[in-house]
Amino acid sequence: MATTRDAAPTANFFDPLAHVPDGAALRAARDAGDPTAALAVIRGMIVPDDIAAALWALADTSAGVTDEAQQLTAAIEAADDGTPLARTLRAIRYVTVGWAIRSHARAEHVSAGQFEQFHDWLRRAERVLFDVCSEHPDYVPAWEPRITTARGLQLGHGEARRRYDRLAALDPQVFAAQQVYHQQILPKWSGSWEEASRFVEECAAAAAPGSLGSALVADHAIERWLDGEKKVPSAMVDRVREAAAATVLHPDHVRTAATATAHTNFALFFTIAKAPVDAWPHFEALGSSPVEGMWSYYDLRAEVPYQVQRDLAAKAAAKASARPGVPA
Amino acid sequence: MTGDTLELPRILFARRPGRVAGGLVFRVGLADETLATSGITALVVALALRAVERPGLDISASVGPVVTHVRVNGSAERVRTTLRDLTRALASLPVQHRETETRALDERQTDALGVLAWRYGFQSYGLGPGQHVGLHGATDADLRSWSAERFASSNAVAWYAGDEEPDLDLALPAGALGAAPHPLPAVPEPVRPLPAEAPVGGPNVVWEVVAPDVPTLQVLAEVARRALFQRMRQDQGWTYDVSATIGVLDGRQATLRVAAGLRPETAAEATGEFLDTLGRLRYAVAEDDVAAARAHLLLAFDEPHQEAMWLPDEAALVLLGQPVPSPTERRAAIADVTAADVVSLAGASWETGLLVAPVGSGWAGTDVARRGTGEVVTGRAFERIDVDATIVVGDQGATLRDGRTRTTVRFAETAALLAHPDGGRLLVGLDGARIPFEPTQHDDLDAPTVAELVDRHVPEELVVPVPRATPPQRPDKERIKQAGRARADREVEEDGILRTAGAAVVGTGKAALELGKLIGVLALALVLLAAVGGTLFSGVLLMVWIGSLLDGERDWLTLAVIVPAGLACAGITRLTYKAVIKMGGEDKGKAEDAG
Repeated sequence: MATTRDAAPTANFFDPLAHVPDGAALRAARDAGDPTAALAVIRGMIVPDDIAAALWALADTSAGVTDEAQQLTAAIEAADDGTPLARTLRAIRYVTVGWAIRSHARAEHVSAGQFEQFHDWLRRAERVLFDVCSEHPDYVPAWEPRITTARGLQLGHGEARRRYDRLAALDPQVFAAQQVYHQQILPKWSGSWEEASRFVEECAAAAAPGSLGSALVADHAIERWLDGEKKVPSAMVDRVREAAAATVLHPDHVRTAATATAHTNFALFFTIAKAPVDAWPHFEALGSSPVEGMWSYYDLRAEVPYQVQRDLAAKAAAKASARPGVPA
Repeated sequence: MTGDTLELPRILFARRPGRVAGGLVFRVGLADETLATSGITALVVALALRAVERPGLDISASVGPVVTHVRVNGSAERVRTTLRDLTRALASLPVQHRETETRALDERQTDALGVLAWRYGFQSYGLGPGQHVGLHGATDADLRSWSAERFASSNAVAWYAGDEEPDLDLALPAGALGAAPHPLPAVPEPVRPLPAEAPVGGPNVVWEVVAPDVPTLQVLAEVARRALFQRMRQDQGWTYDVSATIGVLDGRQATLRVAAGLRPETAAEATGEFLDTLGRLRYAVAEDDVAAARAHLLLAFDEPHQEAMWLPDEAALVLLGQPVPSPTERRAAIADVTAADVVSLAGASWETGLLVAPVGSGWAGTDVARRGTGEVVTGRAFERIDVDATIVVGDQGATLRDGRTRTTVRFAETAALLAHPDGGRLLVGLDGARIPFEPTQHDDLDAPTVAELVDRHVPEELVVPVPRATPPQRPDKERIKQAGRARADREVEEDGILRTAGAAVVGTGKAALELGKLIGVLALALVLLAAVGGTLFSGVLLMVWIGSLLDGERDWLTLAVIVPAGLACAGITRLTYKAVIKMGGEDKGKAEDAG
């Protein structure tokens, strides 16, 4: 029997809503340009990772400064009924618009004018989130984008960490927040590998069996590879294999929207580690509804390598299972 | 028991056994000054205090926005003679000590942050303590007339708390009999949208709002202080000291300034926690916290001799034309404040907030306040040679482009023009924007031009002559080159050269100069080519001659021509090469300067 957790068919190759509960309803609302209807769907969600995935997916539709993007921004503002959820969506929309202007380039390639506009949008977002968190300090979904605004506005690692800690005190298992904070403390955002690595281990150590805490190991390993560490050390492969077993492949794991993100990043990691047999279960779990995760870092047109690597992994896995004595 | 006497100034008296205290309160303060006269009230008080100040005698004086207060403690006789001598000195100001007292005021370090100047500009309530540039322009006559006008008996109230009603001998400059105190300057609208961040620097985080001066504000201040102490010091150890201070504006409105000292390592998270804690007060305050704050404030009412305790405040209220509550009424007003009142005032005042943050910007979504953001002016342009900056001066005012930032001061909105004897000028706008004119930092702007373009547009009373030992030195070559490079980089980045009309004219002149140089370099290059050719040709001829020598011919005359000619050509080659390198190099430098 189909549940709301099952992937909804989509036209786009990567669909961030594919693994969000009631993804089809959300997608319909999004395509109709009806944030009010989308918010009604999200109101039924309980898991912060589901809410975060849904909000970011809605807000990240047609970002930038096109007419279409402005219409969506206006529609999201019009849908703000003063509830913390609607206000958080508005703030996340401002963040995605700002980030689209900044582009995903590293800081040294962004012009001063772009930076001004980027910061302007982030301040608008922060204003909304500051008020929401003041009025509803226990509202987890508003703290998660506040980690991102702290990063964009360069308020300092200490502040980003404080925001993460405030969130973690409310709910220690929000994978989206862990991923966002992990980004903040990477060297590319003037953090350090040591600091990032410590945080990854901290999340892994605090994770309940089957929860996603350890999955951050894959994010971290991919970041190291992106930074130029082309040969993945075998110890790292073992560590990520362990992490996969302790998280998404664990029998106690409870699926959320973040499960798909973790799967796709595990698949990416085992691909770059040239371990297609290990990549296969993750590709397989995503089925015909892949999510982008960090694949856009691998290649700007990520769907092509994704498909190629998925096929290679499938073949390798089939071959491995055909050979006796070798675990698939 | 409070009573009036028929003497001028009005005297308030309250009976209290033991220690005697007295004071003089004047309806004059910083908000009555302008930037060009700033410091004059403090200087008058300092001069008058010379008549009475003695080691061991407890005297204090303060100059607030609208009230100046001198207090004295001691024996009845000392208080009486001090107040008497003080009034005499104010009536006949010892201006001969002006320079000494001006120096002393300059030396005085205030902890004023200048946040009010970001709120109201360099005018009325924006002029804070520590702002006394106007003293350079104050003459003896200015001081005497300020003292006669603002320290007059009609503008003063004396108070005395002691065993017996005193027979005070006060002789202030005569105010018209029955005249009212000087009217209060109105609290202006803020000069910028709020909340905003005031970039004043410093290691502390500060949040300052303006709110009605009501008892709820005192409770809010205490609630805020306690909440911050709990969250920032007790829970996290991110600060040692938090404070919440109320500052009088005009008696109807007041500032509430909340601050915490931070250390650099944890300044970011401490700033975030500080703002989140204060922001929360807009939505919820625990009834217990309000009760604790109220109880703390009510402790003051357990002291005996309440009338005497509130006497100085009463004197100020009388001068400000405010109703004077009895101690019982004051107590009741605080006891009645509810949590809902506090939340409501915290919410309403938030929109007037100015933030000072030691790290980052964009906290709580605030914009960093900027000065001089008005429409840019057109006029003649002058490039700075020490930095990538250009000043445009027209009839309306001046615009400074410094890097990508443009700052404009309109002559009609001038707070003061600081004039240095060497010709340097600093034009200060009412919003606090500053535009420096420094002839030593320009190739094309001399002192007479500054005087012609700037001085004649500024009313005389706003010009303050400010001495300085030496003007800033002309920058060295390296600095000028750096500025040129910065200019070129910026113009490339801005994708197209943004020039004012005046700068374009200057640019055309430079282009003509460049063309001349280019022709020179080309001519030199031709000479160089010819010289190199001559040298080589001489060499070839020499080889031929050596060949003919081996054939037995001895034509010494040819040799005598070839060798000097060759050497001459080589010499010319060397010289022209050096010249081309030098000119080309200079050209490069100039090109960078011109951007």
